[in-house]
Amino acid sequence: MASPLEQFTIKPILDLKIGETDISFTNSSLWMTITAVVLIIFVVVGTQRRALIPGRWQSAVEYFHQVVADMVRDNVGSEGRRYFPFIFSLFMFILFGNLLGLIPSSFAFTSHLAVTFAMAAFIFVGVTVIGIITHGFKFFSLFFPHGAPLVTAPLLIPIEIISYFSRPISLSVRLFANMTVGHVLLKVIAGGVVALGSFFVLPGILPLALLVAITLLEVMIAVIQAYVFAILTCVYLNDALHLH
Amino acid sequence: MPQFDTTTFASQIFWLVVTFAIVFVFISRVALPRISATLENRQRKIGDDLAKAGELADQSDEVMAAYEARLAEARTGAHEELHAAATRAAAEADKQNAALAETLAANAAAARERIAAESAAASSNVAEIAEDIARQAVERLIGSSPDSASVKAAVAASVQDHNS
Repeated sequence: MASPLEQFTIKPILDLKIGETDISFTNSSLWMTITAVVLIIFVVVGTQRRALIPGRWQSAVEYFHQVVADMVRDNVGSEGRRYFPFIFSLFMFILFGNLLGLIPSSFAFTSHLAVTFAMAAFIFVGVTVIGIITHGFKFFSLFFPHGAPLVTAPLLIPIEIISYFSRPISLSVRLFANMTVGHVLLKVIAGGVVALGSFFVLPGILPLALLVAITLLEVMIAVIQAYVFAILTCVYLNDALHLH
Repeated sequence: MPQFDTTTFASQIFWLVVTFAIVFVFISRVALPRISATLENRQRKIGDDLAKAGELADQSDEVMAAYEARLAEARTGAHEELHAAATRAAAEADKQNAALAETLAANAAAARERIAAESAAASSNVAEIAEDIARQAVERLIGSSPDSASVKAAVAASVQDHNS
């Protein structure tokens, strides 16, 4: 039986190179493309009719819009509206990537640290730049909690700096680890169904029931992790815009 | 773990940037303007409908107030008319009553006069009858008729005597 990690292997479909750098179109790229196409069809076709009374499809798009708009408003405030298109795209892209990655024999590109870290690093750098542009040198007061006694500065400032720089790591590892562990778990339990025999024989049916339950759990985790990624982006953005 | 195979990193990041950029462009240039336009339209339509409903409610209130005013006016008019009619009828009745009372009083006075005349006539007749009886009684008693003047005087004296 194949290793449960085998599903994460990146296989080239079309070999491409820019200079010395390998940028082959792989199964990961394929599923990023599928995610992009499905997502674009979802939001573009869903908003085509612009009906006063929305149909089911339009309602679904408007619902996602509402969820992210509320998230940005509650966590960033009115200054966050400029960044709403980015946060909405980010949330939808991760959400669709996570969900499409759950289709059997598809590929979850969000289970790769390179992808999640690239997104987290972009957000980290972007948020830091926004913070420095908005507040100038005052931005560095972020590293010293307001109202804390001055003597605690030698202790607090290193802690705050470490916590600030661990943000992209925690943000990317959270998503990557959740997706990887979920897929490994599904694979291991699915292997158990096969190893314990038929779907309808008593020992085999228990891991099957568990597999169904864990699949539902993974769908939930796919949604929650996309939401958490987007909401943490909002929180970091809020810190950069308003300090604390 | 395939996740830590660094040779795939460049390709993954490259295609992530490409696909995400395309998604971002479609969402920010096509989908979001449409959604905001739809939401704005809907908000405006709801606002307009609410404003229109408020206007109609105001109008119906106005009509109701006008109706109430007309009703009150009509009611007071009717009251006044009724009052006037009642006053007129009372005056008419008073006048008729007065006329009737006058007629009755006149009739009563005439009747009293007639009674007085009758009674005077009757009492003068009584005197004549008394004189006649007295003459005849005297004739029977003494055989000769007394002269009428003395009989009259005697009767008058007797009446006087009786009356006093």
